[in-house]
Amino acid sequence: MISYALALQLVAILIVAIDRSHKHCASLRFMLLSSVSSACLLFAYGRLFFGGQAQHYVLSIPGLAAAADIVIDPLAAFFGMLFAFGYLVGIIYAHFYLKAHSEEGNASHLFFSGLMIISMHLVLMLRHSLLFMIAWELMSLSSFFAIMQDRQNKDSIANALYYFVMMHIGAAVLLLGFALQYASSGSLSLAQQTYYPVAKWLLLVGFAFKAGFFPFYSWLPKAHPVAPAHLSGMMSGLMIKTGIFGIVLVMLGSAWQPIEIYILLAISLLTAFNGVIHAMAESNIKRSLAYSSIENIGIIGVGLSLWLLGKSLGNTAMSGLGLMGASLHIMNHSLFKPLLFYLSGNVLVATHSLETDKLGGLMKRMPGTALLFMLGTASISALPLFNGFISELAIFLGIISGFQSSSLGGTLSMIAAGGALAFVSALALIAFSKIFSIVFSGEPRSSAAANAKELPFGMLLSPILLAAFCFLFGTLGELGLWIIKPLAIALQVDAGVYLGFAMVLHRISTVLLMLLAAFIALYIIKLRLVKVTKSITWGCGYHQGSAKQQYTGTAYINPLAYFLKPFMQKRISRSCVEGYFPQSISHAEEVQDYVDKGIISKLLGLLTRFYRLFDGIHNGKTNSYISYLLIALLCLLFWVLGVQK
Amino acid sequence: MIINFLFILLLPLLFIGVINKTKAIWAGRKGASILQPLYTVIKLMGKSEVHSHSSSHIFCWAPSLSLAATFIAALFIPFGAQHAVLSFKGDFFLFMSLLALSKAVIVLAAMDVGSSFEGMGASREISFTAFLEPAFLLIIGSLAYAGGFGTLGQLFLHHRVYIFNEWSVIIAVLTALALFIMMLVEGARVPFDDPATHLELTMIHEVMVLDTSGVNLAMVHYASALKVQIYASMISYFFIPEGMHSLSIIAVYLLSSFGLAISAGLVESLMPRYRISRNLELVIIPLSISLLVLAALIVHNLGGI
Repeated sequence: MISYALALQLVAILIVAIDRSHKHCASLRFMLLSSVSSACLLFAYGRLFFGGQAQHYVLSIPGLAAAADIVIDPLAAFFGMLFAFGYLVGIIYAHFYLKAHSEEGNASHLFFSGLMIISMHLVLMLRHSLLFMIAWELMSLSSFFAIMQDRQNKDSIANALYYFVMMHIGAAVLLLGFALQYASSGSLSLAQQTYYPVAKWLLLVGFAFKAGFFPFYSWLPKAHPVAPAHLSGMMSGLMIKTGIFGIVLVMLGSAWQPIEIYILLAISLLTAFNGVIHAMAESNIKRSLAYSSIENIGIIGVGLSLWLLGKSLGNTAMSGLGLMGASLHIMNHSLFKPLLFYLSGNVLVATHSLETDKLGGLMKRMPGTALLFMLGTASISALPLFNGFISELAIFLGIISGFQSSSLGGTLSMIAAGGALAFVSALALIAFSKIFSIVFSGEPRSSAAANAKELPFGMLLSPILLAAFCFLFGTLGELGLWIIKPLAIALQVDAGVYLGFAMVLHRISTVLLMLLAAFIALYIIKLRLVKVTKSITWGCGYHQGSAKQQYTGTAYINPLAYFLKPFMQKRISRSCVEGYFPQSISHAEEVQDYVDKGIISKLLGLLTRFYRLFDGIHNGKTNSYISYLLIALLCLLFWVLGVQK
Repeated sequence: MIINFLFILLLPLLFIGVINKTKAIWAGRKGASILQPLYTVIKLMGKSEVHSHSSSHIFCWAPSLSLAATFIAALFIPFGAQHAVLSFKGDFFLFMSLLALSKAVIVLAAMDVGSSFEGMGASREISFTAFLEPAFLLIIGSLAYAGGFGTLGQLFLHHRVYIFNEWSVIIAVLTALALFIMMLVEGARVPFDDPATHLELTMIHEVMVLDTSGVNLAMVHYASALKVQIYASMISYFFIPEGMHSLSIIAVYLLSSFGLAISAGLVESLMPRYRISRNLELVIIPLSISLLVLAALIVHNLGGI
């Protein structure tokens, strides 16, 4: 059934490729076919997943060293379910977004988005390193072309190319890892593989490029802002999870020393920390969301490290809670991150701007978008009643249960992890309360924001669906836990730990319902009692306040920015007052990512200089190319003669 | 249980009243009655509300949600009883998040009116969470490290302080100190914030609610007082040995709360407010103390010193 559904998706992209009818028609047809295909996929994966068995096919292709394994085990089915659901919701939004934000190149954009989702599903199933790499490449390439929807925009092309280059460095590392693995084990199959130490780390690095771990995350904040909103949502919510999937595969298939796990934990914490401080400092909504994806990947990484560490220390509570926390967070992130990206797309369509300091006052102009964004903010900041809280709860419980660890390293690392993660989650609250309140509260800071209008219902449909799931999984935490149960069983989570956590979630839902009841009761009583009059905002006696006097995003985070100065390098450009009658002064500052500026761009510069060495070869003259050919042929001839002798 | 609810309802405002009375007596004034905060809240309940033209629906409901969240959080802490009303293993994170929720909605409401004063307060107040959340988590961690991981109520109630076991005393004293500082920060008291100042630029909590009035303001006042009382209760439970009779628990609890209120009042009388720009540096103190406690515990467990 999965293959039929994927074939249907293939048909959808082929139709879109040859369709010459009106583009809205084509997009509608594509959306319908894709959503039917995704619904089928969701159903098929769900049946496999909750049935609890793995499907194993063997594909024999002539010319391959061995038959290729195609495995749909609970792990693949779990990710497949998320992808199918995320794509189903995303493609509905994409249709309405493209309708409202119409530009050229929709057909090719849809074609590549469809190809991207097909290759993502293939990545989950193919357990043969060559075929896996082909699917992986297909995914990177198709997403690269899909990002470049707006081909007139130079910025868009440059950032998409950056993404392309980073993905290929990652793919090269992966290929090296697979090659080493093949050299030492003699098998290309990835099913039941035990990874050798060097190959293991190379594969982890390769997958870290896709997932966005420190220090390989620099493509996320570049590629996401230029991609159309639905694609950013799907890439951030779904595609980077293929990196996590790969990491889990490697984690399952290799032996781990505690010291290696501490390194993974430290990298995850660094990832989360770096992501969140930049999410806080950025002024562009989508770039901020991209950094927050990095933060969430870090949190997932912490959960996975807890899982490994618990296994190696024999602490079942820690390993079980870590794994459940990580998988819940993978699911929750694939709900709230697309939600926020889609809503940022709504803001872009309505105001043509994503700069927080140019917006404001959208709460009254776009009430639906604003309310949904608030729910997304609450989810991502791990506030109770919403789903982010449930997954962070599992991870924090795992950390606390590791405090009384038998080894000193275990205790110390859990203390560091607990403190750092609490700091990160507080900063996430600050980052998102900043975005929400600067963009949606107060008074508009530009005429574009002042003239914004609520968008048609179609653009709110997918966000409503996602927000409803965020709320549902947040208040009824057991529901989310029930969904990951087959995965927890397959990865051998201790039954007692699972039941204990289910009990905690049960109690929490009771308390949260009490909270809701108390809140609604208080609010209704208050509404009955109170008479409200409207007046101007209190301005310390000054009644002519303008929107420019409002607090800005930079000011909002200033107390912490002062503290985190070493991590927030600012580039300030200002023109000073000159002459006796100064005409104008200006001041602009931009926070730069020190990882990107300090390490990554320098390394990329070195790489470029290395490739420049070969510049002379590529000189565009036919006669020199012919002589290269001749030299190569001669060399071959000598080699063959030498071998024969 | 009834005692618990009764104390949650009545004590917070009395606590603030005692702080103010202490300050007045120290300054040589007669001062308002210790019931004055209660009278203020009752007076505010009867008033109508004035909302800003800029504000949206958040401004209407945020104080109700903040109060509801703080109230539910208070149910996890025993208030003069043997047990908390609500408790289950691992409830500490819900407790922390409820307090964060209560703070977050007030911050959103403050930003909602588009006033730069309130933005200032909101920004300062929410910055404190960045250091208080890790501190609280580490305090819970050190208590769990010392006595096993249980419910929030148990962690404080079952922490036995033996006078001859120096480690239990060290943990109790240092943790109580950290919690006391957190109480001053969260309750917006001197030296971190001065509720009595009349200059917007130097206020934190009060400036956030400049536009709030009537029942909303009453809710905000009560929620903030309740938060102070929650921290005071956590500290008080270090003085209560396990297995004490419930009547004497009430007596000890009331006495220690009273003592804490007086000491908070004395701190306010004896110390000037810190400079705003240095505030955040000092909010790190609880974090450092909790790290110190954990370090001491680990050294002890490893058999050192």
